[in-house]
Amino acid sequence: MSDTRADLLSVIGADVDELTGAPATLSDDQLRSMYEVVILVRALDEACMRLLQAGEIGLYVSSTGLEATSVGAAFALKEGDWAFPSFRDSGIYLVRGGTLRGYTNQLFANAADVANGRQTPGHHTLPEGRFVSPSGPVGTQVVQGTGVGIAMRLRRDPHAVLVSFGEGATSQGDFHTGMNLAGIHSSPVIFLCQTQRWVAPAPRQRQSAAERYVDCVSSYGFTGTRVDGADILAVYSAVHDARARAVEGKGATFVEAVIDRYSPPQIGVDGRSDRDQWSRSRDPIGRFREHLHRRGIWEPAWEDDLIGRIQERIDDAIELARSCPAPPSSTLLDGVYADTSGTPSTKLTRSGAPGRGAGPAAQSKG
Amino acid sequence: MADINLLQAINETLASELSEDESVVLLGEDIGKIGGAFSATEGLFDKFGERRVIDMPLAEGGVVGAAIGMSLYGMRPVPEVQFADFLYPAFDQIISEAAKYRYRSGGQYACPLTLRTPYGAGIRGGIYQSQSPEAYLAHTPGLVVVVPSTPADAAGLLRSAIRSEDPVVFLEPKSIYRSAIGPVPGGDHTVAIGQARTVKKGDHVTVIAYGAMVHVAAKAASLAAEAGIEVDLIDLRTLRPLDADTVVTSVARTGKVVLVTEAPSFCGYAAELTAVLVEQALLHLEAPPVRVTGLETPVPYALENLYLPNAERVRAAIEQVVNF
Repeated sequence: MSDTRADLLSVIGADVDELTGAPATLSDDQLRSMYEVVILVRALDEACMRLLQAGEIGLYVSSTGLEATSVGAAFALKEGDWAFPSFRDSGIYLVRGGTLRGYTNQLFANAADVANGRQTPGHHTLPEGRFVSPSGPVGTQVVQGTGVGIAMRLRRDPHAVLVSFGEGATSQGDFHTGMNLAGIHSSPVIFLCQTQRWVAPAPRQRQSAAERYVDCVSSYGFTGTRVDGADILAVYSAVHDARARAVEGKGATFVEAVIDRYSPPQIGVDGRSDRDQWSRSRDPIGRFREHLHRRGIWEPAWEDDLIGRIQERIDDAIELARSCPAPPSSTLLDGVYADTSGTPSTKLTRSGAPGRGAGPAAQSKG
Repeated sequence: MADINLLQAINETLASELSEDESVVLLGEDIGKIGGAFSATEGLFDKFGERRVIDMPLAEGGVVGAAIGMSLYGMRPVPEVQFADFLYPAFDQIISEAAKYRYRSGGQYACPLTLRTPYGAGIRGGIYQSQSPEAYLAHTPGLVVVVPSTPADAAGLLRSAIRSEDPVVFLEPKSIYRSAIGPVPGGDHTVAIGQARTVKKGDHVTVIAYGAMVHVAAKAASLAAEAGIEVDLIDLRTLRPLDADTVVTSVARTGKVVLVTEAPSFCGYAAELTAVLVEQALLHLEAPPVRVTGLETPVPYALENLYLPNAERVRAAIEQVVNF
């Protein structure tokens, strides 16, 4: 795939006085808020990588480099919207109301995890944020998110669904099925495709022979846009506009966010110069910081204080999660079915009755 | 109450649940304007409209996956897969997703959907319109699997399935859609999930079947009765969860059992029944359980009648086990 960067929507880098559209409406406080979250996401990611390397958690998938896409997209959502994230979207989890303790409890699969330690690290569940944990199979969320959107239309519910995935998901049959369905049913979905390209090591297997993933969208009958995934305001802008289209009944939008990712090399290989090069030119946090600095919103003392507080919160959350025991064995059979005994329920309820386990929309309608 | 057939029972139950509960929504290929490949949803599109009876494109994964999304949102979708043979493109959504949502989220999310699908052979459907995939489904924790053999049970089980908070696969034995005729109680008639039905009482041998094979077994039981053998005939009605009590109690009394499935025997549902009986009724068994099943082949088109269990094969098995 060629490096066709000329067509990527970019916002940061433009003169701050020339900002238009949604990014221009963000207040200084909102921008600071966004920045705090991206710093938190990065620090949390690095802490989790350390936990993985120390063998304290069994699995972890890094999100470094994806902060602008996750956080920028999530900031464009409103309460009542739904999110079907990918594995690297801790930013979406936090913006949707997820707590650090909820996050670390899930990683440690302890008794305080809302999902009873049922899943491997990284499958966070947050019904109060309408955030649905990523599944194991990649791409199933594309159809399900479309289904939520169809239900929203049937209910005349003026909200939207964010479905986020890496470009690998576009190879799956469910990607085509979900996109096709969204086009046919004008489902109010924002399909966020995080197209990842690698600074180092060598490029991985291609997922498509096409130059740009966004080019597929015309065959589904809706529109797409391609943005610089390291530009948080560009992502915010694209998702904001896509959301507006969705809630106005104009259906789905495909947002391809192109990101250059840095992956640490193998142990023993000195990757510092690659990392430095990436940091200077492609790190979404650095670019956002520069932008805020130019606007007079950022200064070093503020960041130092912020990082200190964030690190303390992360350390606390990890310590609490680490010291919490595993779920009791008595919970092992719970929740296979609605009846907690582990066998299917013979108790029947009407829809709308706040049945245990029904999603937030059902409970609020009960 | 007038007698109706299985298809009518399904149609009327869908209509009644659509009327009673506005969150019930049907979705599937050809179910709307066409009324379904077998007319199971005939008239419902006209009566309830396109917001309640939704035609879907040719993608079973889309039908089931969309239904999952709708059920997470709080609706009560009833997706249809046009033939059980076409469940496989939807298997990731059924097995990986719908069946596991509640458990993997600690009860925070769930999929109260009812997946209807015509299954089974006997209509010259060939390899891809005849399969009985119940074993793959019943093997999956988190799924409920039911299969009626009469109009009353079709109505009652379908209503229970739709009202259940669990994902239920409702297998419809297509070969008896029109030939299974009987009375259906009116009103809010439900049949409990997880309860087998004793069709006919007898003391000599237990015969266990479900779906279309209940009628085959009933014919075999009549033939056996002519030879003085009284069959205790059980219609399972639910495959997961299994009503082990009814099954074990019967075999503990008769000591002999014949198991009938359309699906092939290796790793089939009858194998599970055999295991349960050996575990729970070993000392009562006077003969090994006999399985009468489809052959270890895909369902052939021309020679389908040789593939399927019939009344004579079941009668011969009854005689074999009684004479052991």
